[in-house]
Amino acid sequence: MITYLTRTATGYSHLREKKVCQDYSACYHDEERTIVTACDGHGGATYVRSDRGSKYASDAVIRAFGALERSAFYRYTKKEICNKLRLQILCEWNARVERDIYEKRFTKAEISRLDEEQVFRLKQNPVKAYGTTLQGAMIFANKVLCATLGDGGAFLLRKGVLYPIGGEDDETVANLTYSMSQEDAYEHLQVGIFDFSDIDGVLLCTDGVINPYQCLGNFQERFAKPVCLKLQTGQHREIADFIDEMGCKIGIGDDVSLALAMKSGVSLRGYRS
Amino acid sequence: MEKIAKQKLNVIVLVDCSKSMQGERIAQVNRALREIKTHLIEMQGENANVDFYVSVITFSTAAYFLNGERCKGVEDFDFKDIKGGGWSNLHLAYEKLGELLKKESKGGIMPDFGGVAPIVLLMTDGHPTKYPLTEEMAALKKLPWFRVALKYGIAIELNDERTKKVLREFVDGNGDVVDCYDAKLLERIIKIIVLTASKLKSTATSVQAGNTIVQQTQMQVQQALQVVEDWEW
Repeated sequence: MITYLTRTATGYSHLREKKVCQDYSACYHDEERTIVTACDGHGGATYVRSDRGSKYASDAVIRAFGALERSAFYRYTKKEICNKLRLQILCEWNARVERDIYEKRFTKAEISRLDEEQVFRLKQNPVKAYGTTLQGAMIFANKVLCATLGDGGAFLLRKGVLYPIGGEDDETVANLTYSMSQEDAYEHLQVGIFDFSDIDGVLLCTDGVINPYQCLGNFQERFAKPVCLKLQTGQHREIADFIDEMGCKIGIGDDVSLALAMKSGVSLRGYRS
Repeated sequence: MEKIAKQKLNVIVLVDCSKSMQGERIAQVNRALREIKTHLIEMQGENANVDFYVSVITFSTAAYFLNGERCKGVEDFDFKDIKGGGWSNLHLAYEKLGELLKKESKGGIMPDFGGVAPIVLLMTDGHPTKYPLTEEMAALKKLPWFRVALKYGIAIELNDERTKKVLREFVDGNGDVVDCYDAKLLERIIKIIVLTASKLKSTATSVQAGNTIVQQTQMQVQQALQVVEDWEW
């Protein structure tokens, strides 16, 4: 039995500037799998459709993970499955973006804040307008599959301890991040497969959630543990309210997204401070 | 409005305190740093989305963190006068700077997640004892926090093109090299650079693009320095 939650809230900087929320989170659940996502559209001037980019990233993860069959684990190695999923997620995302570009041309309102050079660059490479990060996870066939690209956080949970998914990445500092819209996105998109019997669940978030805590230990103690505890005790409303408050009031002004999926009834000893 | 945590904005100052800096030059630096502390505390109280942290690296024959402290919140930063004397081993200061500009989990002072690009100010009045600094510069450029940092170099009464080249390499297009033709103006120039950059970076929203902030800061610092030039030269 899996208990899960996703929540997105607009940051106060965006509310003040009357910008749309560029984060997107989603979940999919049926009798055999649970998929959660948290994606963060970029905030720079040229990323005029990053709100759609993050939605398409979320859709792409759900579509690619949802199509995975149990038999794949017998037919392919973990590495082969991961590489197929990386490619599939990118293809799904690019297909959605290209269809959107074809069906909805850039409007004057969209490019009104850009200078001539930015407009020229956007016309040369319209996919850039949809730039987004991606964090996605699926619990399926006693395994956890995770896809991650760009800043934000993707963690496995075990007895109250967070284990970052993917290699350590020193390059994502300040506002720098990898993006789905980069030509070399395939190189930076990481997919991992982990045994679910060893872990309690998975936590994904965008940088708006994790950045205020600055270091992993702080984030684990002050955010992850209390949130997991609330999820296990059915206090979903309190978590959603806190995420909303983090966005509009007490965070750093950026949009915030959280996605959390855990086994029901895990031992709560490690999660209590 | 209660915040979970403000972002950190690190202001890192590298001060040449070799023998040639003795006298008026080092006195101006001391006065400037003392005043900067007061202004940053005010700025932090007024508006900021950030908390200011100060690091001072002094270099002569050896390089040290001032007071032996790598980084301090501006309110707790206990400034003690810097004294001049010795050689100008800039490469040792670069090594110390490299220690700072790593993520906390790797032993540095920069946050593991997010954070604001630091402001780094290097001031010197003479040619570095060890030259060229190719290896040390290459090591710094490998650090992402160094690459995104807003960097300023102050050439104090310098006509030496080789030293200016060192400063230009340090700044690497992400900031500026400023000439201080008269040591008496050093205090004002330091204050203008640090305070203008700090003000702009601290009031920028976390979702503003990094490049825009760098360009805006460069422009405003240039404008502010123009006033000094117009009045003083």
